[in-house]
Amino acid sequence: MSMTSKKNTPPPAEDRRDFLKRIAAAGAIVAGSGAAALWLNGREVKEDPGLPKLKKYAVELPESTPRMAISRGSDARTMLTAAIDRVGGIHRYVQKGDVVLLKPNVAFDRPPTLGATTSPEVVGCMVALCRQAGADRIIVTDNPINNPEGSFLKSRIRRATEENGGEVLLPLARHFQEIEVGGNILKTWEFFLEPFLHATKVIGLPTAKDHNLSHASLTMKNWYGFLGGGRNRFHQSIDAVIADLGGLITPTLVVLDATRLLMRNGPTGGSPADVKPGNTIAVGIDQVAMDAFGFHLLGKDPEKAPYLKLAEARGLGVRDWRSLSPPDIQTG
Amino acid sequence: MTRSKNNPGSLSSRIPGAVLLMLLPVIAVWVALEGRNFDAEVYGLDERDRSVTSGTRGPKQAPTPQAPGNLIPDSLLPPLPSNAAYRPSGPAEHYDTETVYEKINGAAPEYLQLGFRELLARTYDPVDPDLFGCEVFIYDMTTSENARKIFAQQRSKGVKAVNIGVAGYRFGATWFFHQASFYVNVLNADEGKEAERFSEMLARGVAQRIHALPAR
Amino acid sequence: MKRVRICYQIFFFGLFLFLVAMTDLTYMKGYPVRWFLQIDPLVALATSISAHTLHHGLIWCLLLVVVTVLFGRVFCGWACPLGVLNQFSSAVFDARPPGKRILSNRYRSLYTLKYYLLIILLVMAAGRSLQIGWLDPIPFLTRAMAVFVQPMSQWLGQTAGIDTGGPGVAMALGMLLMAAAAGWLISRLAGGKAKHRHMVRDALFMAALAACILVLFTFSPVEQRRFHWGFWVTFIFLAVLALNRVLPRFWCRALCPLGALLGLIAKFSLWRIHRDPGKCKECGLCAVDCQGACEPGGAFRQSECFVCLNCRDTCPEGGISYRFLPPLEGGAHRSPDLDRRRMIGAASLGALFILGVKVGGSGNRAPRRDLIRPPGSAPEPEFLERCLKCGACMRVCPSGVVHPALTEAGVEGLWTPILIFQNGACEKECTLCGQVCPTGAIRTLSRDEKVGRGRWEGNPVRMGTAFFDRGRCLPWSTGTPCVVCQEVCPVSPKAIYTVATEITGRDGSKATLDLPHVDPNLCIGCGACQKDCPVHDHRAIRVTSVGETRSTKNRMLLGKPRED
Repeated sequence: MSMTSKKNTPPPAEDRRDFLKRIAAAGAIVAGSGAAALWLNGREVKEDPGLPKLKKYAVELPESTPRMAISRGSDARTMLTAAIDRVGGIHRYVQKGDVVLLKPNVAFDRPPTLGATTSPEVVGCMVALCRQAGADRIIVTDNPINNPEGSFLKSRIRRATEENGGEVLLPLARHFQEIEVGGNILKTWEFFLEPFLHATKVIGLPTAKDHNLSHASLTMKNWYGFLGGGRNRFHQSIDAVIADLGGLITPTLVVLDATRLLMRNGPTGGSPADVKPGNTIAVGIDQVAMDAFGFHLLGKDPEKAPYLKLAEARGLGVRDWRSLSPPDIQTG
Repeated sequence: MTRSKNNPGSLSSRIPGAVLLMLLPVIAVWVALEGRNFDAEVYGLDERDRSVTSGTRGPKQAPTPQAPGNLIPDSLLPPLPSNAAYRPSGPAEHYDTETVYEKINGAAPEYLQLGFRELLARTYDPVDPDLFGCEVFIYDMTTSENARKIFAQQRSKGVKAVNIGVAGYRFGATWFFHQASFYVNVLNADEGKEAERFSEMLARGVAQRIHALPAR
Repeated sequence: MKRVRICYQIFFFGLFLFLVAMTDLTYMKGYPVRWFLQIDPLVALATSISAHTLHHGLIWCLLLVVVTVLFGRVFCGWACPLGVLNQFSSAVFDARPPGKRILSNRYRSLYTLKYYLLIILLVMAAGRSLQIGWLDPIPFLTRAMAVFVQPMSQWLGQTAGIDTGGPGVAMALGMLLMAAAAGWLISRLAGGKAKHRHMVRDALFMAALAACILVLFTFSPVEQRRFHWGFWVTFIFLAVLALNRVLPRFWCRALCPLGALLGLIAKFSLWRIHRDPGKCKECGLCAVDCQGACEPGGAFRQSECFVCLNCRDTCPEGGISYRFLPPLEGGAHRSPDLDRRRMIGAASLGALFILGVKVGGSGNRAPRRDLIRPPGSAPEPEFLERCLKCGACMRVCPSGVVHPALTEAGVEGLWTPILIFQNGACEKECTLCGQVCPTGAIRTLSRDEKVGRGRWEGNPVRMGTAFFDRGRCLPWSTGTPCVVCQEVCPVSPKAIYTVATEITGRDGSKATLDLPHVDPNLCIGCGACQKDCPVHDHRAIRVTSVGETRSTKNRMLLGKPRED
């Protein structure tokens, strides 16, 4: 117990200074906590400063350019080039310096011959075409139902992409973010936003196949592959969801790969017997028309698909694809 | 313990103590005043709603006034003479297939299975506070065959028939009968001449009015 | 002045008990039942760090900040209800002669522990995990009241066979007298004047406390409350009181983070204890009843002083005074001795905890089916930033369905409120839990918003969804008619509907049975069906959390599309 035996009497001037310092310190504490409390009092903590919205990726097209073109044949490169030429040529859609986001259907861990995924030949050709047009980067991506690494491998799409100068982007958890969808059933949803952060052009590359719930999986259903979260809930209202997806993404161009047609047991397929050679590729910007055409190729009645009606009612396109007078080219 | 030299008797040490002590009742008064200052609506936990958690069956909702679309006209209920032993206690209540549970709970399925369409119910409170009260239930069973069926299903054994409607019976001041597509209960647990007279007036009044309805 | 202080302590302890007793549907009215929690600066500080906002009402903390800056840790010595309880326990346990008491009131370096605990808790708060509810005395005591004291007093009263109201108070007074008489008798037998006084005093104190507890019972709802694993809350509470046997006011001196915070503020306080070295004879008597172990007779530690003023009253020379800005003696310690390395260590412990729970533990993840939160609860990450684990919602719930979680909410969520529908259901029109939550972890809902009326038509607050266990449900599995669940379902139209189905009995005969189904679009997860299901050992209809409106992820339905 240390103790000073003599009284500690500092001189009066220091005394007063010390006095004021202590009062000031006390005052500062009160003032500081008071200010902080008043500032924070009832402060609204809003987590979202507004959710991101997707841009539109369509390009200007002259009136005379057909909104859809069909080419038939056996060689993917010839068909693709011919069809794209008829809708204005690749340069109308992809220019020098573009970062192109290519979205094929890589939903399943299956070989291409089963028709559940987009043909690697078509993907490869598309990547090459974009390169020719001067694109800086071509990002090929999808959020598969099955394991991503395996799906890109088995479908041969990884090889086709990389051989033609493109890059594959596999989805990771941090690539996803909730975005504003603004649809009739999907208001917001978790979305694979990462590739969109860099892309200047968005091109869809679906395959044409049967689907047990929605009757067919074509151009609009293909965008499913950008969604995260609980996609298994969509089955409760698949048509409304597809129509919302069609409204959400306005692509630069869509290429419908109908070189192989999965006629039955889609979307996963499984038996080569269910796959018929389609020998067709359709290209265009009217997703509704192209889907209706897809139904026709699959031998199905588009009247049976509620989502087509919904999409047309929303002004996303026309079901009567013939009314667009798409050029129909035979490439031998 | 030796006595402290801090002189406790001096004024300078008494005053702060007194002031501090006076603060306490101030705080107590503040708490009491705060206690009175509240929004009763927020605490309006209706006694009837509590039955959900206290084990008794079924909550009761507020009755719905007759809305357009309700088929049973309120006019089926006869007006009461001024010296009646009971007075109506609220508006006439209408229940449809969705909401009838709130009135009759577990009994509802029986009615629903037999084509129940709508219920018109009304409670009458006794003028004499020692009595219980009276309730009228008029069930629209869509067809007279259904009304007959439910009547037969619920009929107590060995009770004397009464000449009312197509068929009816009563015990004490409680009446049951069916007429046209309606199945009518006048439930009155009170005993004595007053109660019986009132129930009969109600029952017969309803029967008359059903009879007078235009054919539907 | 010591007597004034004792009046204050009794008053505030009584006020605290009163407010806890009033936290009840029938009595609450407008009483400021959250007041103690709202004036607590640690609650304000920690929640503003974790939730980035100061919930309305918490600005009351400025009152206590100002009082502490002016007068020092008067809260600890004059008002804190847990402090009063600790002081009382210390007095009861510590009937030692003055010489021994001086020793137990010496400052120990152990008493710096509370500052490190404060650092750990604030670092956790910065990591968006509010854990001050473990050690902040007000939530701690409120929780102990709700989970242990109120049910115990209910049980005592009901075992004694008394009803609520008047008889309860009479019994309490009767017990008081009996205890006083017993104390007097025992002291007579024990002999000795000093001991006599001490024992009578203690007996009276015990009786007074018992009376308070029983009075609390008179404000209880009828059903005996039992809280899910309430044993642990009880055990820890009693252990804290028992710690006073080791050292007086152990919690207050060594563990209390609020005491630490107030101690840091009290460093700058304007009024403080001053020992006049000229008058001091170094007799050491000032330490006999020193509550804060602040050594007024030596190197005085301002941050530890509870301003109990016992030293002032005891000093035979009148050498200790409580003065405005006294000169600071050369030997006086002004700041708590905090070791820098230990501070960093404490901060690291807090950070490790955050890493552990946010990354390894409850972090992110499949929703928990048993984590059913009270209606109006914030989404889970925000909930864990705000919930003090104070148990006020558990106390107020008229149905007794709010319980302290054990593992249901993960490590972070220990003792946060969850709903258990075994013996009660959430009243459809009741919004009390949100009324009493001091930090907005449970938002205040209007009845219309909770039920889905008016502006919120068609959008009631859902706590979860009920699911049938068809292997146990009587109609489904045994062919026995039942459908109690449908009868008690409180929503209109009912969320449980029946389908008349033909079944074949054991003897081959056919019958029609009503089989119940849940409509998940209507179910609000209130648990009325679960509570009344007759298969009472493991109900055949149970609510789980999926479908709760507070979560965008914990859903199983897509909902209906808007009309085009």
